[in-house]
Amino acid sequence: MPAVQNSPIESVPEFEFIDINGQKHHIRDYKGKVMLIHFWATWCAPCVVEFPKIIHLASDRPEIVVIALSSDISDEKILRFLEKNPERSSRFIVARDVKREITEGLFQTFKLPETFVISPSGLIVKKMVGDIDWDSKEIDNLLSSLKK
Amino acid sequence: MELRMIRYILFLVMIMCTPVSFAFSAETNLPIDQFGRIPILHEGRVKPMDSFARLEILKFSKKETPTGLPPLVWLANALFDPVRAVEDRIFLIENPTTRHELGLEERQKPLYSYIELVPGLEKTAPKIANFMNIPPKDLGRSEKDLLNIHENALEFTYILRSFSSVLPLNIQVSPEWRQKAGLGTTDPITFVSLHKMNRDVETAVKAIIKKKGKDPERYSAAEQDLVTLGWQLKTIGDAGKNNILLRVIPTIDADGYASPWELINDGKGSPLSEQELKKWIRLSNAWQQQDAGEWERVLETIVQNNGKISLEVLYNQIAPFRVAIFIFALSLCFSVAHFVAPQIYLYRLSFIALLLGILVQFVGLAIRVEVMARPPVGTLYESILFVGLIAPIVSLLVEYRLKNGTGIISGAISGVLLGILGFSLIGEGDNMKVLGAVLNTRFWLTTHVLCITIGYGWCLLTSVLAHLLLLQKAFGRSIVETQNSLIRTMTTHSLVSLFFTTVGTILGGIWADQSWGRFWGWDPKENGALLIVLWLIWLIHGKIAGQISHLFWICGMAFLSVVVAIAWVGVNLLGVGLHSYGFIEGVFWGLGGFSAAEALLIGTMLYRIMQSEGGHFAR
Repeated sequence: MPAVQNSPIESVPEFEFIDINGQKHHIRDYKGKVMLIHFWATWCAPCVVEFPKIIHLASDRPEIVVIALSSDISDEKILRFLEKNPERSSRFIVARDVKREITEGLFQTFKLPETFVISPSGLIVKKMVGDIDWDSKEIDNLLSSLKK
Repeated sequence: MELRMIRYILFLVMIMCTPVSFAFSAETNLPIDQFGRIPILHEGRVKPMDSFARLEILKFSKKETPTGLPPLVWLANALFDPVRAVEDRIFLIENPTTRHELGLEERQKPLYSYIELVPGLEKTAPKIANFMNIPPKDLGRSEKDLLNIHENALEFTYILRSFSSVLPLNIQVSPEWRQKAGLGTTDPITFVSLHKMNRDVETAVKAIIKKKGKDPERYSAAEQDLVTLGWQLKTIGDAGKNNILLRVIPTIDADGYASPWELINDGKGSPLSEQELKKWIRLSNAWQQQDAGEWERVLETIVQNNGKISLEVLYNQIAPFRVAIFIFALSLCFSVAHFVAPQIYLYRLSFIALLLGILVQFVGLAIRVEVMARPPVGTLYESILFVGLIAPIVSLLVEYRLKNGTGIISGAISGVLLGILGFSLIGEGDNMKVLGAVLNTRFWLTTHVLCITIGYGWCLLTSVLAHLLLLQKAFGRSIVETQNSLIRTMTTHSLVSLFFTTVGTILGGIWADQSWGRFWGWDPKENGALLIVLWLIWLIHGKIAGQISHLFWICGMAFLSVVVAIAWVGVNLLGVGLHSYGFIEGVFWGLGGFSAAEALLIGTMLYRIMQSEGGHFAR
């Protein structure tokens, strides 16, 4: 089980991105919801293992929005990968971080996968590094505590 | 006579004050003080950069200013101007065999720069690999010294490369790859800016090797550039692995601070760390351009008001224990002068100096307690500082009883000797380290350890009094008004010493029972504590029962200093037992010399007394 780290209060920075379907989003659009900003790539083995679990989590928990930002170099690779995981909630948004400016620049994320948990008020409450057991009691307690 | 005495006093004051240094240099135009207040997570606790700089330079050169620059200026140069810093002569290599092995030239001060060391380090690297497989206790002195210089050089490279992930690199990147990395033609090239395309570079390099093999001569110019870039990125990335020394970037994880390379290698980055890194880049630019305005502006955003950090910086600057030694030495000089030519003002000056020395020692210990949030007796060095306070305080009780200067002179002697002992055992600097799990309990530190160290202090003061008594008898000078009152005082103090060392030893057994599951294990440290108790019981009972003479009893009490030194410091040299946190090396000859000198001194005085009085005093 990778490290689950407690964090002090820190606001999520503002950024916008275009999802894999070409739709533009702004982080502000999801204020008031529990957000998981998930950094991943199709070439990253632990990410591939973790991906179905996080899709499942988003389907199970209506209060959650997952923004999965990929570090892949092309959309095609992502789309091909997503074909293997077709049943995704509308609250599971997949996007490619084109120049990795959000991943490495804004969030200083160099090891994949990494996930930031954002509270409805826009605070970063946890950062998780590595393949997380999203079905664990710890995660359940954390997400339940953030529910408004 | 008085004029001569005043000249003597002025001369003493001048001598005492000269070595006290509050070194602050103006080698840079930038105000360096604030830089020293930046918090850094080092050796398990958050401390000011000032402490870190002093500890690191002391580790390399056993001196805070080997280059003539204050430690903070040296550190800032190493962090922000590493190309120049590699030429600073900071590595002290005292062992001629090690210098020879590293192929270094002989010079008056054996200080060498990193650049000078590199060829020798490369040459001796295979030896170091072998040493790693040998238990440290089986390594010889030269082998240990060689290993030590390799470790220090590696640590210095960690400092030099602390910001190599974000500072501009002097490498060539083609316009194509610049574009892929999202860099403009004038944007500085950094490891982080190229990291995002690292995977693409690796893939492209693999494709070139697969197609054309490993011989670079078969590559086109563009391919050679790309392969070179891949190699450079890999080299810089590899060099950053394990670089966790400079933990100055606040993170959102439980550790609180991370080094710049940990953000990349250990997933400790966050939006907060991104902002903080930018500040450090600005700080680096300000240092390189010596831009005081920008330097101060950035530092204002990094340094936060933190009472403990400020207190520790103040502690570093005033060096209270060094100051205390000089004040105790001053008190000793006045005391000696008073015994040579009794004057009331000399007595008062010696008393005031002793009180001042105690106050400074107390303030130093109080700051340590506040900074470390625990009793100040967790290490051997700290216990010496504490005993260095207890013995002079006990001397005040002696003076209160005798009122003839004996207490003052014994307190001053204890203060000076314990201060010097502390500095000789400080090793790699006063790092106020975080204690191991077994020791890190406030209850037992405040009961067992304080009790036993109070016992040590009392024993040492009793020993000093015994020396004074022997000295008086041996050389026939009336140092004290009545020998009997001094003997009575010594008797009282020997009983108090016995009380504290016995209670401390029993409490130690209870602690051992709780921590290690047994009350007594004949561990060297336990045996040492028992040795003091048995020594005191033997002498006290021998005196009460009339089995030993007064003279023998006094000599035994004088020799208590050796017994305490063996129990306190000596057993740590054995390197066995469960008290591993106290293990030390390199004081064998010092301890042996002290024991021999004491035996010689006490023996000589005993011989003189017996010659002159024919055993009268013994009766």
